[in-house]
Amino acid sequence: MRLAPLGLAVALVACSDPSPPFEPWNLEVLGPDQGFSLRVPPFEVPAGHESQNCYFVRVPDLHAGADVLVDEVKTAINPGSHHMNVFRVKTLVGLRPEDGAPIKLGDLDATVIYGADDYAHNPCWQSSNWADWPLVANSQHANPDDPYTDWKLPTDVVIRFTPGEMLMVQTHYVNTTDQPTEYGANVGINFYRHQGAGPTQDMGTLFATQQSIRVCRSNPSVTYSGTCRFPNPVTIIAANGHFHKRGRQFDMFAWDGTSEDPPAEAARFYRSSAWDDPPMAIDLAVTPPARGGIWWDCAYQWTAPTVVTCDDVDAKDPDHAGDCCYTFGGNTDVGEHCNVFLYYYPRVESDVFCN
Amino acid sequence: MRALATVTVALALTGLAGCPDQPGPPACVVGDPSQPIELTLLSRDGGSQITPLHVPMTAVPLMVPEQGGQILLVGVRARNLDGCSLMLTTSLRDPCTDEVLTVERRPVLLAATADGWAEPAADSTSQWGNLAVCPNAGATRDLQGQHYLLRVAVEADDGRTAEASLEVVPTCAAGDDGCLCQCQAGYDLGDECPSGLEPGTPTACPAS
Repeated sequence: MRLAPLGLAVALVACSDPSPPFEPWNLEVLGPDQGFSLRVPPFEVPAGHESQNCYFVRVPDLHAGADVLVDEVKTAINPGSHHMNVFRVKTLVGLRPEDGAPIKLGDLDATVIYGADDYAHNPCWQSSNWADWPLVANSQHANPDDPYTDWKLPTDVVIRFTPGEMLMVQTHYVNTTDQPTEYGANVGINFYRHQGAGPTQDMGTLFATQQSIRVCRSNPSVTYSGTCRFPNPVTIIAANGHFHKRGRQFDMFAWDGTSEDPPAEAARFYRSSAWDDPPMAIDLAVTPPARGGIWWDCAYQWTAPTVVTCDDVDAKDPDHAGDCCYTFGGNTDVGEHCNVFLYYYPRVESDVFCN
Repeated sequence: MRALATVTVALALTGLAGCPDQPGPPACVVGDPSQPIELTLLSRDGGSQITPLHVPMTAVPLMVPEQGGQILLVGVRARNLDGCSLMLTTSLRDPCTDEVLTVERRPVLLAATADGWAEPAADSTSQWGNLAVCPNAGATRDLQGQHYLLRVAVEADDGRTAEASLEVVPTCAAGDDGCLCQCQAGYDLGDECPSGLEPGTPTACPAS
């Protein structure tokens, strides 16, 4: 067959063809009538390293001291981002805005604490520092083909900010073979002002995290589950789950708040099977039973670390089991997470944190 | 004895013989797997002190875990099972409303003790139920200093299950204003917590 070698050659060329160059994202800069924009200055992440930074910035006064109502959040994030979270700053423990270095997030004055990859010591990596900081928004989406997430809230549902209130924007970049940062780190966020004049409902947020997870070589397939209740009847509008490299399946269910048994499959409203690009469900309309909440399952499969060694994983294990056990921690190669990011309305009294 | 925890046991009659290619009982089996699983409730404090829970209204310590909030560390001491492969379910129910405040499920290992039982290692937090208690946006009463129904259930690899439950009083450490604040009914996330809060004492369920 004379054609076969030619076909093989074509195939080889196609396979070795580099992926098309990344098209830098372009996000409009908002004026006061439109909302406000945050731009994290681009930075590099050394190969084989991770970077977690905490940026502190105040919500600008857009209209004579009136609350800033936002009904759309758009992010643009260069590939390699592991997460980008925005929280409202509350109780200060070990992570303080005044300890940061001055920086600009676009036009806004800010400070930054560079966590680099010092996950063992830097306060930007220690989640107990922001345990009572209500979640505002997050994105785990940084696809080279589509670095944007455009999240429009349901009609007349808004994120309510007070001018001057402090926000913390946390970026986490990974530059390893399984989550490369090939084009540098670059994050942009636009908060679009609500333009309507009628009554609105505030959006609430729920952030939940599973304690003391453990994924070991000798017990490689494990699942952890937890629950979290709402303070009032709600409609869930968006959600995404977050775990690391051993994460295989992240499920969320509506939960009735009366049963200790796992909910039926029909109650499931979210599933992620991708630790490095988990889906953000943004068109949900889930109504858990009154006095209910959510139930989540985080399923893991042990795999060997790809950047560090099991000696490094063992060194972090508080049980010192010598079984290459991944335990809670922000570094994606050494630690594991099981975190829920969820958005609902109406927010009546409080946002929600479940530990 | 009224003080004993209620124990219910469900027994599956299959799968008790272990793997055919492994002579004798697996190393993790404690007691006689042909008998119903027996268990008692345990709690642990932040200093790795284990306390059996037999007496209703026992104060069980709340503690701050690595990721914030307030949790109970609870588990079981058990026998007649394979302690190396168990699913532990812990929950806290409000007896005043019959609502479940919180549920947690996790795989655990129980280590054999010299007296023929098995229990979680005192210094291994991951082998205990990390039951999230405070804050809880769905709570209608204070979460500490009041009585709640603690339930702990185990499911063995062979499908057998057992559970125990007991009314306990989740309790903040003396002078821990942060715990007292987060465990108050009506606590809003991020609220400033005043100092000098009083822990209070258990009260009867409010009239409905």
